Formats: sequence, C-alpha cells, structure tokens
Amino acid sequence: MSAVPHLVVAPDSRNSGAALRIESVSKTFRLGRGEFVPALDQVSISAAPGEFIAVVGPSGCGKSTLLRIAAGLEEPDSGKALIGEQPPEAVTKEHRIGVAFQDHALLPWLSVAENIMLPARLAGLSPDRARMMELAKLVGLSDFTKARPKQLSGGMRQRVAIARAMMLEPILLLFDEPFGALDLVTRRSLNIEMQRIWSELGTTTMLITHSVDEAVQLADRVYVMASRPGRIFAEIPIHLDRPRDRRVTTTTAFLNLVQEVSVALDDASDQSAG
Amino acid sequence: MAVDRFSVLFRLLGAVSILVLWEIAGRQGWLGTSFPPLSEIFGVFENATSRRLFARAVSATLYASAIAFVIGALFALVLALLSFTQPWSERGLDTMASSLYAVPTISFGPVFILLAGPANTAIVLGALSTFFPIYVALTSALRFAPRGYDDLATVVGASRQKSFFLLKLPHAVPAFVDGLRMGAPAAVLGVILGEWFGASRGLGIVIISSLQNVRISQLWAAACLSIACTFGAYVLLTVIYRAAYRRFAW
Repeated sequence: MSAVPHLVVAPDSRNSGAALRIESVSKTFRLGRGEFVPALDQVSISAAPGEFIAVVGPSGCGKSTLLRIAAGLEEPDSGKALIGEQPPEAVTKEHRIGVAFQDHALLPWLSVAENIMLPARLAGLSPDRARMMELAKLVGLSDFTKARPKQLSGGMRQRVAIARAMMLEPILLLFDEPFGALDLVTRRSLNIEMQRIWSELGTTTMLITHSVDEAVQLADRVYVMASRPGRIFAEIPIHLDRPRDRRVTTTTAFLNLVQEVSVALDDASDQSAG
Repeated sequence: MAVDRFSVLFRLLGAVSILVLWEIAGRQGWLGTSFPPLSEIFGVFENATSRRLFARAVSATLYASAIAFVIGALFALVLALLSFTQPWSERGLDTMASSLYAVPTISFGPVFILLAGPANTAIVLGALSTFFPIYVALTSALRFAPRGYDDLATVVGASRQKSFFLLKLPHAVPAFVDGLRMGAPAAVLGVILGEWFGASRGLGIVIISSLQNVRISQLWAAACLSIACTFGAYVLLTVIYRAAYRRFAW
C-alpha cells in the first residue's frame, strides 16, 4: 500500500526529481482601470533534475509570482513552465509538487503528525504513517508529532511545513521564503538543517529568498532578479562542496560568493526603474 | 494575574454601584412610581404563588427558546452551506438573510399568527432572530478562509470536496460557534417577543399581563428574569465558544 499511486520516478528515498524549465514567462497584473503593472518580463530559469536553485531579488521583483507559476497557482500571460515534460497543473493532479509557503499555512486544529500527513488526505490517498515519522525525524520533530502547531516555536512550525511539503515524495520542491518570518539566529540554524535535509533527499528544488547568505549556502545556482519589470539580471553558479555545514559559511570561497551575489543584487536594484 | 484581578474587581465594583444607585433611585422615587427599588422587585419572588407563576413562565420560555435556537441554527447551517457550495444561490440567500434582518422582528408577528398559529409564533420569531447572526458568521468564515489554504489545496491537487471538508469546514468551526453565541440570546428575545402575540404561557405573557394590570414590580421582575435568561444563554455558549476556539484556532 504505497501512498503514491502513480510514480514518475522510482520511489527510493533519494528522489532526484524532475527538471524544471520556465521559458520566457511574462506576466502582467491589472491594478485598476487601465492600469497595468508588468510583474515578469521574459523570464527563463531552469533546474536540472536534482539541482537546487535559488532566486534572490528585491521585494516586488516578481520572484514569488515566478514560484506561483512553477506551482501552477498562477497562469503566465505568455511563455510556459514545464516540470519534466508536463505543465505544473498536470503534476499537481498527480500530487507530485511540494510547496512550503512563507506563512507555513499549518492547520491549527491538527497535530504535527496530522499536518505532515495532510497532503495525502487532501489528495485522497491513504496517509503513510511510517513516512510521516521518517519526515518528522528528518526535520528533528520526532518528539513533537502529537503537539499542536500553536505549541511550537516559529522555527519548528516552518520545519513542519517543510516536512509536509515532502510528504508525497514530490518531484519538485518549491520554497517561498520559508524562513522569511524568522529571526536571524533561528534562520541560520534552519539553513544548516535545510542543507542537511536536502543533501539526504536530493530532489529538484527552487528556493525564493531575499537572503543572500541563505541562497549561497543552499543552492547550486543563484538567479538574481531585477524589478519593474521582474527579469533575470544575473545567474551565478555556486561551486561549494556538499555537505555545507556551519564551517563553510566562514570560508573565503563562501564569502566571495556572497559578495558576488550581493554586488549583482545591488546592480540589479540600481537598474530597477524606481 | 494582578491585572486580571483588578479588572474583575472594577467590573464588580461597577455592577454593585449600579445596583446600589438603582435601589436609592427607586426608594427616593427619582424616576417616578414606575421605577421601583430593587428590593421591591426581588420581593415579588418571596410570594409562593408568584414563584410558581415565574417558574412556569421561565421554563416555558426557555423550552420554546431552545426549540427556536435549534431550528434557527439548523436553517442557518444548511443555507450557509448551500450558499457556499452552490454559488448560484449565494446572492439570493444573502439578500434574503439581510432583508429578514432589516425588517423589525415584531412586524412579522401578525403574519406568523396567520401562518403558524398564535401558539407557534414565539418559536418562529425566536428562530428568525437566531438565524441571521449564525448565517452571517458561517458564510463569512467559509468565504474568507486564509488564501494559503486554497494554495495548499491546489498544489497538492485536492478535490473541491476534500478541500471543503478538510480545510474550509474545520476553519469555520470557531466562527460558527461564535455565531451560535450571538444567536442564543437572540432566540430568547425573539421568543419573548413572539409570546406577546398569544402564547399560552411564558415570560412574554407575564410582561404583557403585568403591564395591563399595572403590576409594576411584577413587570420589572419578569424583565429581570428575561435578562437573566438571555445572559445565561450567552454565558453557556461562550464557554462552548472558548473550547471551540482553543481546539480549532490559533
């Protein structure tokens, strides 16, 4: 009795996932009568199977819109998103996208265990308790499966959200500023956790963040966006060995990359109209 | 903790000073002969016959209120679910609910005497008064569930049905119980109002007949008991609301 009915990839615990391709995507939002704001202009990004990409950019540059398009939550005006060979809507129907949202969107009336298993119940699949326990252990919450989200700290809630995103063995993980609301100390330790978790999973991942450190620590490649309209400004490969533990963040290679991304981000902000 | 104790103390002090002021105003006749002191109002209950009268009236009113509350709440529940799940019905039901609310309940009295008979008018008016707050609370909780829930449902490929039963409905539970909390006193008030149109017993009847027979203290006693009933209903539902809130909300 597997929790996953239709497997696109082999169901081993290391699931490298599918390639993500976003090709020349443009999106305009309507503000009011006759007023339009271009959110994304000809944006193309890609992630190879098993690759971790991060998208950084000033707030309002459309990076969250980009993620919502990849998740099938938003329809682009032109261009397309493909996960493997399929559009996102088809992959969501097969329950194979995992998303962790900025506001965690946990359900206060369910326990941690039930929250992690929720995607299975929502998808109409029988929840796999063993997998839930495995994920709870992975995010370090084995002892808290019976707790309610409101009894947990902000950092622990985000770990639950991350575990929940992985419940259905996704072929693509999307993280929309999952640590955005946390304090710096918690955020740093969760980044290290995240790095470890991801090294164990190896699933294709797209992370949206405004923290350069976070992007450099976690990603294989960082896209820097400029705003108005949102567009890709730079693409910086991160050649750092994995696993990247706490010590990596003090190496010259790491600091140089952080600087390189930061400079690109500053240039992008300068080029952003307004 | 200290702050809590102070606020309780202040509330108590406020209530006690109003009661004392009432007693003095009544004794001195500041507000005329139709404003008796508290001691005289409660004196009514010393008489065994009055006690029996009031006991019968209160139990009749509470019984009718309970029936009215259940009927009103069920209608609100069913129609709120209908308006949420069947978008074609939403506007019509909303308009109907607010029209019913906009018309003074008492003006429905004569209509329901003809439709439901004088004996049932109390229950009908009580149910009508209960309906609106529950309907509004439930429909708005269902409509304004956090956007993150919809995103989650879409991303994991949930059916409309799953998303409704696993996300929307449990999310709406505290608001629904909050609606019940508003609806319970409304049921009691609606029933008392309805009793004026010819129920055989109840607090409304005691109020009307005391008024006609110029039994001022008895009128006030009936009014006080009516308040006690609505307040009791509110307190009871507040306890349930707090439990629901603890269980279902942040």
